[in-house]
Amino acid sequence: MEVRFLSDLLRRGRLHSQRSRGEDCLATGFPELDDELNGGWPRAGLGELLCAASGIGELRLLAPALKQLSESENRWIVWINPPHVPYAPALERLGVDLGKVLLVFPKDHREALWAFEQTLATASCCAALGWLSESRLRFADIRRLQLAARKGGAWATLFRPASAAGHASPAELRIEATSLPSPPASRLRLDIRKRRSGWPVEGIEVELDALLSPGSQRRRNLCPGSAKRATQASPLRVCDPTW
Amino acid sequence: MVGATHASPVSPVCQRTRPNSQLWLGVHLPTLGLEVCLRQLATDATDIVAVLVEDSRVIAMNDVAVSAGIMPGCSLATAVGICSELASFPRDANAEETRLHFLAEMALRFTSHVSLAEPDGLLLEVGRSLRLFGGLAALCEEVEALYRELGHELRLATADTPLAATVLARAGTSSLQAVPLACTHLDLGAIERFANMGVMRLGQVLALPAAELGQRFDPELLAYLDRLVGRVPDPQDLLVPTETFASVVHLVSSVQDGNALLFPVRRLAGELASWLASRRLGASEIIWTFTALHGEEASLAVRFARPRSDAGALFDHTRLSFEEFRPPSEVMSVSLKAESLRLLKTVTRPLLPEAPGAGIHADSAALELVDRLAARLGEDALHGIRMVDDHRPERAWGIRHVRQIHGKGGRPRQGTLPVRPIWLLPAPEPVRRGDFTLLGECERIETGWWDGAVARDYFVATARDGRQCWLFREERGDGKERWLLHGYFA
Repeated sequence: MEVRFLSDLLRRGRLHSQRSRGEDCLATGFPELDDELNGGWPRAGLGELLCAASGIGELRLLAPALKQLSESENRWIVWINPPHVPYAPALERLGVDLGKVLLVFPKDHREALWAFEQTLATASCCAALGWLSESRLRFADIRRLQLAARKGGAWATLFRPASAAGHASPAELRIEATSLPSPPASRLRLDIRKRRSGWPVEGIEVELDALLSPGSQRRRNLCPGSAKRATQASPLRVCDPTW
Repeated sequence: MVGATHASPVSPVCQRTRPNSQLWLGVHLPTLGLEVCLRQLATDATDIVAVLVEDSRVIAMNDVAVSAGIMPGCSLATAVGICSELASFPRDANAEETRLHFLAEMALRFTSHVSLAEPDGLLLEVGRSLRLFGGLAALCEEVEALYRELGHELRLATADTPLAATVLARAGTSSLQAVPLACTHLDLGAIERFANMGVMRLGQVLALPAAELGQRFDPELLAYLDRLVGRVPDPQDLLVPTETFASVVHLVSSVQDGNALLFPVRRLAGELASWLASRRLGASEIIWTFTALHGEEASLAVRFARPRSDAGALFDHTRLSFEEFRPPSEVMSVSLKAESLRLLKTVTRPLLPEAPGAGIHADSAALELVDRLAARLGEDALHGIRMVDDHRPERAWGIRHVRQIHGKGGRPRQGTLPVRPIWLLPAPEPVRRGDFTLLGECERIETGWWDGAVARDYFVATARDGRQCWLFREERGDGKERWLLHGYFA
C-alpha cells in the first residue's frame, strides 16, 4: 500500500480535519501558504507575524487578503498604532479600498490594547493590523485579543519582532517571515511556528509582487493568487510566461 | 383602560355632540413636588422616608413615609417624631415648573396639542392620535409607561373639555358629578361658602340654577362652569417646545467618586433620549457640565459619528469618555445640554442583504466603532487616508477626517498606478548609494515648479538586510547628486 502523509491526504480531500478547509479561512493569495494554513488566514482569530525588520514585505504578504476583504465586506480595515502612516497610493495600487481604512493612533500601550480589543470585539471590522509595544505586551493581553477576534469575527494580525518567537503565545497562528533577496522579484521565507491542526513547518517560500518597472509590470500581476484568477478572466494574460 | 376614566360632562342643559371630536387626556402628577426633589439623590430613593415640606407642614410624601404613618398636613416636627431618619425637602416651585415643562415636551410624541395645567398637570388633546396608537387604552398605557420610566406617579382621565379632564384627573373619579370641589379650580373662599351651604361635590353645583348662582357668586364662576361642561369654547395655549435640551440634576450631598456620578449621568441620558425620541431628533454632540461645591466647573463634550437618540449609546459613550475625564472633587450638580441636533432620517432597510461595497456609512455598526474609539481616545487619534492628485510622492496622499470617511473609495485603480512603497518615510533620509542594489528602471518625477519643485529619479532597490526600498537620486546645487531613501516596500 502506498504510504501517504497526512498533509497529503488532507490536501487531496481524502481526509477532512475538524475545520474543513476554506470555510472559515481567507485565502492568502499564495497557494503554497494556503496549503499549509489549511485554506488561508483565520477569518476569526489572531495571527502573529514575526519579522526581523519592518519593510521586508510583510504587508504585501497580507495585501491579497486585504484586497479581497475590502471588496467583499462592508467593514473596517483597522490599523492600530502603525509605525508609519500607510501610503495611500500604495494601498490603492494593491487594490485596498481606502474608504474602509481606519487608522488609530493611541497615546500609550494601555490605550492601544484597549483600542485593539474593542475593534476586534465589536464585529465592525473585518481585519485589524496591530503594532504593540513588545516590552509591555503580556501573555494575557494576547489571549484577550485572540478571544476578541474570535468573538467579533475579525482577522487580526499582530506584528512582532523575530525575537518574540522564543516566547509562548496564545495566538492561533504564528509565522516568522524573513526576506530572501532574489531580484527582481522579492521573496519571503515563512516559517510557521504555530498553526491550527498541524505541526510547525519551515521554509515555505512565497513570491511577492515583483516591483518591476511600469512597462513589464503591466503584464505581471500583483500576486500569484490574483494573477491566476485574472488569467481566466482576461485572455491577454494567458501569454504571461510566469503562469 | 388603565387608571383612565372617561366621562362626558353630563349636563341636563346641553348634551354636546363633538363637532371637532376633541378628546382631552388629563395627566395629573400628584407627587410632582416630591419627585422633583428625589431626583437630587444620587441613588434610587426607594427605601428612604421622604417628605415635601412647605411652611413647615408636610404636603407630600412617598409610600415609605405613608407606611411609616406620616399624614399629609402634619407638621415637620411631628413627622420627625414619627420617623427620625426622614429626608425632608423644601418645596421648590421653580424646579417643579421646569420639570412640568420638560414632561409636557415628552408628551409631544403623542400629540402636537399639549398644554400645561399648572401647577401639576398636563393636557393632551388625543382625539386625533387614537387611531395611530391603537385606541385610548393603548395610548393611556404608553403615557403611563413613559412617565413611570421618568420616575413620576400619575393619574389619567379623559373628557371632552380640558377643564373637565383636569379636574377628573385630580379627583381620580370617572364622573364629573362626584368630583369634590377641592379638586376644582374654585378659590378657597367659594369652596368654603359652598361647604356652608352643604354643597361638597361638583354635581350639586351644576344642579343649582344658573341665575341664582350668578347672583350669589361672581360671574366668573358661571363662566368657569360653562367652560367646564363645554357650553363655551375653552381654547388652550399650546406648548411651545424649546429648541434645545438642557437639564440639571442638583445633588443633595456632594459626590467625590467618578463612578457615583454615573448614576445622575445615566438618569439625564435617559431623559435626553426620551426628549429626542418625542421629537424625532438625534444629538450629534452632548455637553456635560459638572459643578463643584466651591463653584469649579468642568465640561465634557461627547460627539457622535451620526446623530444618536438611544439612551444606551448616549450613556455608553459618556462612560467611555469618563475614563479620561477628571470631574471636580466635590460635584454638587450635573447638567446636560444638547444643542447640535439633527432630524433623524428614517432608514429604509433593504429587503435583500446589503451588497458589499455599499459603503461603510450604510452600516451603523461601523460608525458605532468610530464613536467608541473616539469617545475614549479622542477624535484626533483616528483618521482615514485618501489620494491626492499630485505627482510628488509626499503630496500624493492626505489625511481624511474620521467623520468624512465615506466608505466608498471608488474602485481602486490598481492596474494603472505606478509601484509605490507602503511605508513612505515622513522625510527622505540621505543614504549611501553603495548600500543598495538597484532593480529595474528609473522613474522620473519632475514637477511642482509652482510650489516646491522636485526633480528626482526613483529606483526600487534592495538593501543589504533584504528590505526593499524606494530610493531617489537628486541633483544638488553644486552639480553633484545625492541619494535619499524615501520608503519601504513593506
